[in-house]
Amino acid sequence: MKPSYAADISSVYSSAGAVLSLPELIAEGLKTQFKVSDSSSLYIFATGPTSVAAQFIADASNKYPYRVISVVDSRVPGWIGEKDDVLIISYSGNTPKITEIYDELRQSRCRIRCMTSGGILADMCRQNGTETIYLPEDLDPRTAVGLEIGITASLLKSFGYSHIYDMLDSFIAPLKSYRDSLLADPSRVNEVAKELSGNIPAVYSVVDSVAAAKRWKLSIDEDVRSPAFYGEIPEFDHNELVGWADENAHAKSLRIVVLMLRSEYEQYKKVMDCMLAVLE
Amino acid sequence: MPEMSVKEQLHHFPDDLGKALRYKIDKIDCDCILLCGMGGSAISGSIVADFFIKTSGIPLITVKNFGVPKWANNRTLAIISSYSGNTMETLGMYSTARERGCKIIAITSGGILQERCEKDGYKVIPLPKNMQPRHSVGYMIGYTMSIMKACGLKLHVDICKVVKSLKEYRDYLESEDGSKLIERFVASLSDTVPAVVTSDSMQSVAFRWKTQINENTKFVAFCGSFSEYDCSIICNWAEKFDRNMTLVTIGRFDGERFGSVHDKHINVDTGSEDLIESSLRTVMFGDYLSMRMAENRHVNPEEVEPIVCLKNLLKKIS
Repeated sequence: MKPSYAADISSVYSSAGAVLSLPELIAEGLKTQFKVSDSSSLYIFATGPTSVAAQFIADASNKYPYRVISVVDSRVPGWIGEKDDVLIISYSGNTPKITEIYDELRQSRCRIRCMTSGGILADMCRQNGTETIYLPEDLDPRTAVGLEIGITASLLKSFGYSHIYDMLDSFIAPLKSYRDSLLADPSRVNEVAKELSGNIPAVYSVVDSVAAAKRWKLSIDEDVRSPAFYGEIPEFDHNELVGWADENAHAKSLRIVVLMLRSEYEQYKKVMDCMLAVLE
Repeated sequence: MPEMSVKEQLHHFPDDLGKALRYKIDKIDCDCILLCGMGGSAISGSIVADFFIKTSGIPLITVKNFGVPKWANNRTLAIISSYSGNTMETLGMYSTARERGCKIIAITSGGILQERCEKDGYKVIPLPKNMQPRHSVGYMIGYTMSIMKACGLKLHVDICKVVKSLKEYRDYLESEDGSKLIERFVASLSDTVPAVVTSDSMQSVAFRWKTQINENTKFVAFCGSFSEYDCSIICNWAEKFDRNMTLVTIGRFDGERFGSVHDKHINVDTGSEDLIESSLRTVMFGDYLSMRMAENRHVNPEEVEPIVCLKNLLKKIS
């Protein structure tokens, strides 16, 4: 299937430009229509910037009785079979090992859908008649993440699970306001940028919103051309804490960034407060 | 179990694994397996999931959170691993798995987890007491694999041969030649932040390296797989930044893929073509290496003061 995008996707961007148009692109993705069908589980194969979309959807799904698994891996799990739905997302369509993953999944007889702007993946889908959601060409793969999130939420809605679609739909206006407020007063952004400038950030978030930490890492990797790492809480508060608590005199340029996001589990707030106290 | 030094516990890794692999469990009928644990106790689940991911007909999902996913049900087996039996997150996973009617097996040396399982009528596989939690990994991997066998999952290798080979590899690592090899890597990693990267099939081993360097050596370290850490990005880091970071690739094929990208890149090849044997050898190499790095830094690998502090703070506010 091909969503009815405007010939030029830039018509949906905010005046702030493509990179800052996440809410508009999510909203655009939510417009995608899928034929209603049954599904018991969805596996989303995605790597690189695209995996942020897969991770976001999988994290958000944990609260609901429907299994969504993000697979950031070139291996196809042996248990995927004809009862499963699979979404392969590759913006370029030329992700390493994409041919092997696609072929292996076809052999497993699962229901495959692909989301791509072209490349080898689009060619294989055309040859085999695989349902394909075409993304607009000439986007930065990171910009496409908003669209990918919206489209995947629409797919879940077509399976009868509209929770994430509804949540995203209700967040579009607040997200736009938040973005506009950051543009109007960039002092906090500038403050954090100054603190991180020339340093190596390690960005942490609670496990059920780790997509945010991953997005930070990937954006710093690519925009700043600087090494960056990401991790999750818990785990940080187990083994990793011991490494960070040391003086690490050789690694003075490392900076910890903790994204204080809300979690389904209230205990995380306590863990984070205590963890920061130990580090101080 | 008599109290053993950390070095002795390290030495016994292949023996512990061999013993646990002989553990017999009645057949288990389930549609999905959740491997639940945190920190050192989570490693075994991740390693075993990597061994079976390509061949298992049953979903194997690792969970590290305060609860299990909402889709878990009475056809789900939750393997709850916690050495102490008192890990807050793991107890949360136990409670939610129980609420959802999952089948449950705990692997623990005692604590609240054992008490709750015994009270609720769930099976407990006991771990020996007086061990460093992270050095009980031989038992934990072996017991988890025994559970996989009870669920009908099959391995493609003769695991007894693998254990025998691991004992020989242990003897090599403890020999003069092995020590010299480890010493060379210790020198390369001195005063650097290691970023341990490997193939997708050994990502759990890279994670083990990171956690062992964190706890034994008291160093910050990072890890990842090729699917997450694009080669070009890593090369770019190494060329553009000289910030005391060392890229460590582990595994035979990974080294070939990377080649030598920079003078701050080292590759560790433990010399086996088989995934399971190679993974376990690489776990052992990382364990010995991180212990030797700790000695080099004059830090006590057994001491984990920040975690003790954190647990005390959490107790105070609970």
